[in-house]
Parts: sequence; C-alpha cells; structure tokens
Amino acid sequence: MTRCLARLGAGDATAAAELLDLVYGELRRTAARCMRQERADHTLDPTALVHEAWLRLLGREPRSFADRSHFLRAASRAMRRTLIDHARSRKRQKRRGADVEPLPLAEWLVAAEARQLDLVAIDDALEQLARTAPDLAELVELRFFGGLSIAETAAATGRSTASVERDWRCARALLRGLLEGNPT
Amino acid sequence: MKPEHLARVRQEVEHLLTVAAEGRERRLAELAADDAGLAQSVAVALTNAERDDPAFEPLVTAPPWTDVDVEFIAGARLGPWRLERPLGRGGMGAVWLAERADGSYRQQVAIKVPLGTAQTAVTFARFERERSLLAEFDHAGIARLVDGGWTPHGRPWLAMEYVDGQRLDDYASQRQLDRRERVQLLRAASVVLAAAHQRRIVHRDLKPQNLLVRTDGRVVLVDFGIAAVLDDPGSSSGRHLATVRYAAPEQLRGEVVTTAADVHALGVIGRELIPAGDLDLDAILAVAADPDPQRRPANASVLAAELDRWLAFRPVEARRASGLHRLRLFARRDPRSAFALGTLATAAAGLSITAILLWRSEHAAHRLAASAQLAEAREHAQVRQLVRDLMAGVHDRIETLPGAVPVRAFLAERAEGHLAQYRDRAATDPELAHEMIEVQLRLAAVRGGRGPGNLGDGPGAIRAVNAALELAQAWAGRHPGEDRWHVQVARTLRTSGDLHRSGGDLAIARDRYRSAWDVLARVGTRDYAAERLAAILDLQLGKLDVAEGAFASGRDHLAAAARAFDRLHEQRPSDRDLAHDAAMAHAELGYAASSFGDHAVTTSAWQAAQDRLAALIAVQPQDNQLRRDQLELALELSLDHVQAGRTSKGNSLFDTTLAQVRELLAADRGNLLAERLLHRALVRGARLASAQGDHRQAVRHYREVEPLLRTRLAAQPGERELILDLAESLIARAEAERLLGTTAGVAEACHEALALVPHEQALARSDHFAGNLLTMAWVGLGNLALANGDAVGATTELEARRPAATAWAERFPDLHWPLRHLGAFEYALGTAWEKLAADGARPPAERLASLDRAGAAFARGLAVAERLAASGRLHGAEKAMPRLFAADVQRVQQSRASMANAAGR
Repeated sequence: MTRCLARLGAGDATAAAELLDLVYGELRRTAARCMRQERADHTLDPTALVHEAWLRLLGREPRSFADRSHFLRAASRAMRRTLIDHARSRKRQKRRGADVEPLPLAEWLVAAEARQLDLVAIDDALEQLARTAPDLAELVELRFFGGLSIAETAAATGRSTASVERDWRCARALLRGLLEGNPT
Repeated sequence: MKPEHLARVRQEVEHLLTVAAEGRERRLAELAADDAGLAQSVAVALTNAERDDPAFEPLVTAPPWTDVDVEFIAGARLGPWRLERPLGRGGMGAVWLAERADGSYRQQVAIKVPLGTAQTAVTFARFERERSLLAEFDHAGIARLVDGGWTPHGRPWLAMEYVDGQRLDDYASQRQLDRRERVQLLRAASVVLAAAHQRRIVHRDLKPQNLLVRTDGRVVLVDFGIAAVLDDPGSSSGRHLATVRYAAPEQLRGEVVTTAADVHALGVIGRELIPAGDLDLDAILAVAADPDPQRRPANASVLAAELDRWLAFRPVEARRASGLHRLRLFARRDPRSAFALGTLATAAAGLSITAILLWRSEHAAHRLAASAQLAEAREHAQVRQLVRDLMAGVHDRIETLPGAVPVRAFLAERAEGHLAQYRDRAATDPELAHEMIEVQLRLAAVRGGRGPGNLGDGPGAIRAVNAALELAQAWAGRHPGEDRWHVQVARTLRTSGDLHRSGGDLAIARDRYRSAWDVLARVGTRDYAAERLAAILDLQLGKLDVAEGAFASGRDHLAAAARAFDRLHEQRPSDRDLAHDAAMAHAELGYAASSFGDHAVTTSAWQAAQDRLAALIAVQPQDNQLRRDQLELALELSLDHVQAGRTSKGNSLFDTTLAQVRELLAADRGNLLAERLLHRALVRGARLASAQGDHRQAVRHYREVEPLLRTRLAAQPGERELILDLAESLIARAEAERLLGTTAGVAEACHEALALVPHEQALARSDHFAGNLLTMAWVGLGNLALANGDAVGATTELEARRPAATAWAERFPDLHWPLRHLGAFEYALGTAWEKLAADGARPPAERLASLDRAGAAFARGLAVAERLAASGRLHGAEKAMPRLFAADVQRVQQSRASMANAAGR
C-alpha cells in the first residue's frame, strides 16, 4: 500500500482506485460486521459511510501518507469532516424549517444528538484546542471521530497506553471546558 | 474556560492528575491566590478529567480503518519485521515485502499472511512442526523460511527469504527463449525440486508464480511447503489452496499427496512453457502430467534425468512407456493380432524395432506380474459384485416403489463410491468402464431433472451423465471398431438430451439427440437395445422438429420411430413399454401429419395409436394414464374426422369421448389430470363446433370450461398452462361470439385474456405461446371494433399494437406459430384500413391514405406468408396463404387506382 500511497503523492490517478480496491473490500466487510453488532433498528448503510469518508480522504487530504499512523490520522480527519459537514447541512435545513433530508449518515448524527452533543460546536471547540494543544486535538480526532480505542491509538501513535489514557482524560476535560465556556 | 487559559490549564491538569489529593488542594489554593478564574477552570477540568465522560466516547465503534488493516498495512510490525509494500495477493493469502525493523541488521523478507479472519484453523502445534521442518531445509534454489509467528489477532504469518526475480513463464516469454532454453529452465526447476523430494518434502502448490528466475538466471522455488503449513487438512476448503490448473487429480480428490503431485504440476507447467511439436519432449511432459500418479515419474529427479537425456539428444523413456502402454492394450484385447497391431502402432508412433523387442520382454514380465496381482484382482471382483448387487439386486427391485427415491439415490451413490476407487483402471478395464457408465447413468436418472421419481437435482444429473459420456467416448475413441462403445456413447448422449429437454434447454437437447443419432447410424450391426435406442432418438428428434415447425423432417423422424417401434414390438409382444412407445410414436406422427393437413396419414396414425393403447388397456385396465392417453387421442381423432369432412363420424366420436371423460372424472373426483383432460375436451369440442360453423355450440363449450379454469387457477395461481388455456378459451370465445353477432362480452373476454398474460411478463419469460395469445387478443379487439362499425378505433388499436406483434414474431425466428399469428395480425390490420377507406363520407385524400396503409399491411402479410412458404412450413390449405395475400395487395392497388382516377376527374 505504501507504494500506492507514494504514487498518490506523485499525482497518479489510477493509484487512488488501486488503493481503494486494496482496502475497500476489507473496509466494507468490517463496516458491515460492526453494523450488525449495533442495534437491530440501525439503518445506516455502512458502505455509504465508508465510501464518503474514503472519498474525502483521497480527495482533500494531502495526497501522501508517510505510514500507518499518518493514514489513520487522515482517516479520522476525513470521518470528522464527513460528519461535521452533514451536521452543518442538517442544522441549516432545520433553521430553514425544511424537511430534514434523510442523509446516509443521519443515524450517526442522531447518535450524537442522543448524547446531547452538538457536533458543530465540538468541531469549533476542537479548532480552539488545536491552536494551543494540537497533540490533544489530534487525540480527540483519532478517538472521538476516528473511533480508535485507547490501545489502538497508542499503537497508531507509538506511545504507551498509560500516556494516551492520561492525555485523553486531559483532552476530554479541556474540550468540555471549552464547550461550556462557549455555548452555541 | 477562557481559551487564553488553555495552555496553562492543560499544564496544571496534566501535573495534578499525577498528584495526590492534598497536593491538589494546595496547588489549587496557590493558583486561586494568583488567578481565581484560572484556578476555577483547572478545578473544573480536573473534576472532568477524573470522572468518566461518556459523551466523548468514540462516535463510531470499530470503524473499518482501525481493524483489519491495522495488522497488515504498510508500516505494521510483525515480530521484528515492518511491512513495506504488498507483493501480491492470491487465493491463499497476501504477500508483503517486509524489512527488518529492530535495527539489528538490514534484511528483506517476503511475509505471507493468510487471507480471511483470525479463525484460520491452523493448530499451533502443526504450524510449529511444519515451520521447524522447513527452517532446517537449506538449499540455494529454495527460498528459505526465515521466521514466522502469530499476530495479536491470532493469524499466522511466515517470513520467507525475499527473491527478487521474475515468474518463470514471464521470464521465458520476455526473453523470447527458444525451446531448448525453456527445457533448461524446466530442468533447473526439476533439479531444485528433486533436492526437496529427496528429503520427502512436497511443495504441493507449484505454479509459474512460485518458480522465480533471478536476474542471474538461477531458478528459485518460493512458497515451499506453505501449502502444507497454511492448508488445513480438516476443512474441505483446504484443498482449494492448491491451484486447480496445476494440481494433480489425486490432490483434488483429497487423497494423500506424494512427490508425484509436484511432478504433475511441473508437467503441466512444462506444457504451458514449452511449445508442442517435439515428439520426445511432448511424451516426457505428457507422462509427467498423466492423471494416474502411478504412471508419472515418481519424483522430480526422474523427470530431471529425462529432461537431461533430451537435452543430450539421447532417447527418452517416456516415448517407450507410452508406446508400450498402447501395445499392451492391444495385446490384452487380442493376443493373436498383438504383433501385427503392435507393429502398426509402433509405426504410427515412430518407434524402432528395438522397442518392439523391448515390448515383448515387457509383455512376458507383465504376465508374471499378473499372478502377483491375483489377490488384488479378487478384491476388485468382490467390490464389483457388491456394486452389481446394489444396483441390480436392490435398486432395480425397489425402483417402482413409491417413496424409494432417496434410497435409490443412496444406493447409486454408494455404488458410485465403490467404483470410484477404480476410476483410473476404468481407462484400461473394459468391463469396469462399462459398469461405471451404467452406474453413472442410473445416478443421472435418480438425480434427474424435473418430474416425479427423481431428486430434482438437474445439475447433479448432468454431471453424472457427463462423466459417463467422457468414459464412453474415451473407449469409443480408442476402439473405433467396437460397436458396443458407440452404443454406450449414444445412450449417454440420449440421457443427456432427456435431461436438457426436461430442463428446458431444447437446443442442447436437440444437439445431443442428433449426435446420438449420428453415432448410432455408424454402428454396423445393431442389436435390440441399439435398435430401440435409435427408435427413441427418432421419436425425440421428431417431437422437437414438430415443436419448431419443421414438420417435414419431424414427420420423417416420427414415421421412422413408429415403424421401428412396431417392428420391435413384434419381436417382443409382451413388452408393454414397447407397445406404449409404439402408440406414442404413432400419436406424434399423427400430430405432425395434421400440421400438414395430411388427413390420410393423420387418421391412420391416430387410429394405429388408438389400437395399440386399446390393447394395452385390455391387459392393464386399472392404468388411468393409459385411459387418459386414449381419450385424448380420441378427441384429436374426432377433430381430424370433422376437418377431413367425416362430420358425423367425428361428432359421434367426440360425444362418446366427452361422456367417457366426464365419467372418468366422476369416478375420480379431484384428480387433477382427469380435470385437465375435461378442460382439453371442452376446448376441443369448441374447436370442433367452430370448424363446422356451429359457433353457438362452441360458445357453450367455452362458457363451460372458463369457470372451471378460473377455479383451478385460483387454487394454482401462476400455473402457466392454466393461464394459457383460459386465455385461449377467452380469445376463441370472443371470436366465436363476434361471428355470432353478439358483441356483448367480447371486449371483456379479450381484456380478461390480456390481463392474464401481461405483455411485459410474457416478454420477460420469452413465452411464445403467451405472445401468440396476446397477438390474437389484439386481433380480437380490432375485429370487435370493426364489427361495431368503429373502423377508426380498429385501425388505431391495431397500429398501436403492431410494433409489439412484430417484435414477438421476430423474437422467435425459428418458430412458425409466432409468424402465423403475425400474418393473421397483418390481415386484420389490412382489412380494417380497407374498411376505413371504403367510408365514402371521408375526404378522398384520407381514403387514399387509408388504402395505402391497407396495401402496406397486406404486403407485410405477404412477406410473412412467403417466409413461411420458403422455409417449408405451409401445408395443405395453408399453401394458399401467399396467393391470398397477393390478391389482397392487388385488389387494394386497383381500388386505389380507380379512387385516384375518380378524384382526378
């Protein structure tokens, strides 16, 4: 895959398709599996989620990945952007009083709303956090948006789980503080 | 929290998380003294950091990118190795180029990981044992196993020496190597393989991808023993790890794999690598790739030696072996002619006289060996006796018992299983081959296609019949002078035809029957079984021809079948099956002849069929199927009588038959077949009445059958034949009522028929019967409009349907009925336009245009009629069709000319 990634950097268009091919099958299988583990009434099409996040990953991020950890960071960022974009458009629609368009990712947003989370506000807070503590912001991205567990985050970033756990607590607390200090 | 505090807050919280409670209090107090806001933020953040905050738990759980690819993605670590880039991906697993990442020294390896999940059933002990076996094996031509282990998810991985080389076949084609250089490559591979074989290590998955040529020209075998390590002996899928193209037959059968399996793979690779044409070389490779492991060189060193001999221009063993093998076959068949035949075979194979001498000593040795094989032979005899008992003793006796199908299938499968162990011998043992063909044919019959008395496993039946066919053809090919093998080929082809016919593949069925017929035609002297088979083939081919409208050839086949069955029946008067076959052949001949309008042949054929059925019924009065067949024939015969002008004879036969049909149903109420017979009887009665111009009687019959069909259809919704019968009845009644002048209910009947067979659905099913009915329903509606004086409506309706009607006919260019219906459609359309043109109230220009449309429709009808005539599908009175259409065209042209004249004046 690194070869593919390098070729992406060189602007090779077919490499994107090749890369997609390489992991997409696995991605979809896994996504389908984790969907099955979710609630029975979960209606999200995992393919749509993966696909959209993936297109963003290849379409907007800098087109080369140094290693696996870089890849995971980019994937988490793509996921964040995907979800936030949907959240923003949903908000706009709600403001306009229009019928909320059934988006493929709506279920995820509903999940976020069920937790009383305002994804757009979190995104803004994360931006603020990134200005002074970019490492913590990235941690949030990997965990919260990227869905990595503490152990996976540790493996991806080459750190100990204890230090990731500590940073995570800190990042979470700071984010909470930022959110409550800037109500939307 | 104020954003400007952020960095300070983080610093304090990170520190305080590691500090005990009193320390925290102290620090917070210190901060409060300095900056109360900051202290407050820190205190809140600290509390938040201490408690579990579910809000920020991952939004997505186990997303795709964290799971599968974490283990095998560029940069991932496996033991001391870091994955660099994928080298390839195959059925067995993925291969990655990996580099040592623990900094000890620089080394590249190819890491092989199995595809799929962590549940790969490789037991740890087995994996470790194989790994150690491979690890101690060190050969320059074999990529070594360097390392191996398990991922955290429990998946095994193997690190192999990385070989920077090119696939054997790519190497050869890219460098445009000549035959000799290619043989040298294959020899090099054989030498390397021989080293492994000496240690009793088998590769098990040799293929061009696993034979790499380094830049210095050395051949290296990779993935050695991987199949053994990663293959799971407990699962059937394990066998798939070997590449089918190169795998030895015994390997695919899941038997014990020896070094001979690798030789087989090399043989196949060699055949692909080296162009054919050199007799010696071809023989070497053919023997190496022989399906029988016993005949192959036992291991790679023997093959290497053979290739060495070839490279040194010395005679090779393989040619002798295969030549001798042939000679032995001849000798076994007829010792007296062995020498002469052997000479012939030798001459053909280009062998020298020394080979014959060699063969003679071999032959003596063979006879000696025969006594040693006696014990084994006795065992064969016992197993084969068992098979005969299973089939003839048990299977055939229970064959007609109800509910015996699963047992019969079991017996046949057991018999097949017993014989399968001698499959290789079937190539040399004629009796065994014969028995195997018999068992396979019975297996095919039991598995069967559709219909009762079999398991409904169409594909399984076809597999069995193909196996039988292959064996029979092989024997027939080797013994072109022995008729019995040709008869076996014809029999299996016939069974194959039956299966395809019942599966709806008429074209394939026809092809099989035709091939069987051709094979039989070449058989010199036919015994009873061969004669009977020929008769059956004529019957089937005739039926298929008639169905396709090829009446002339159908009639000839059926006449031949009828004659043959009669002849056979005379020889064996007590054989009831023969009598029934004879009756059916005559009946089918009658149908074919009636399509010609050849009443003489029709009547005599149906009468003959009737007589034979009556004789059968006399001895089997309880067989209702015979009764139904007889009654059905009587119905046809009565219709034929009427059409041939024997009206009263036809009517009285019909009346008695209808009464008998009603009796049969009354005695067996609820019997579906009897009920269907009544449906057909009523429809025949309606046709009979229509043929005599008694439309009132026709309508009565149709009105009786329609509710019966509707009720039955409600119980069996979607049943094609019922739908078609009802649609036909409705359309025919509509026509009869229109002729009676009672237009009420006609439109409803036509619309009901149209609703029964939705156009798109019929089209999707490619159901030409349905298409014919639809066309006739459209014609019926057009005619109705015309009868109501609505010529505009008629032309509009019919023109709108014309593309669909044409499409139906074009869809089945080989069938005659769709064309006939299209002809009827064009006739109705032409008539409607002509009628419209005759309307004097309309402006002359419009009337002229209408006449043009009428002329066009008749001209198209003429083209259709000519197409039918050209392919010999118009018979009897039908032959007038082109002439009648031509007259229509001419009449319209004349009307147009006079109308134009009148308008001009």
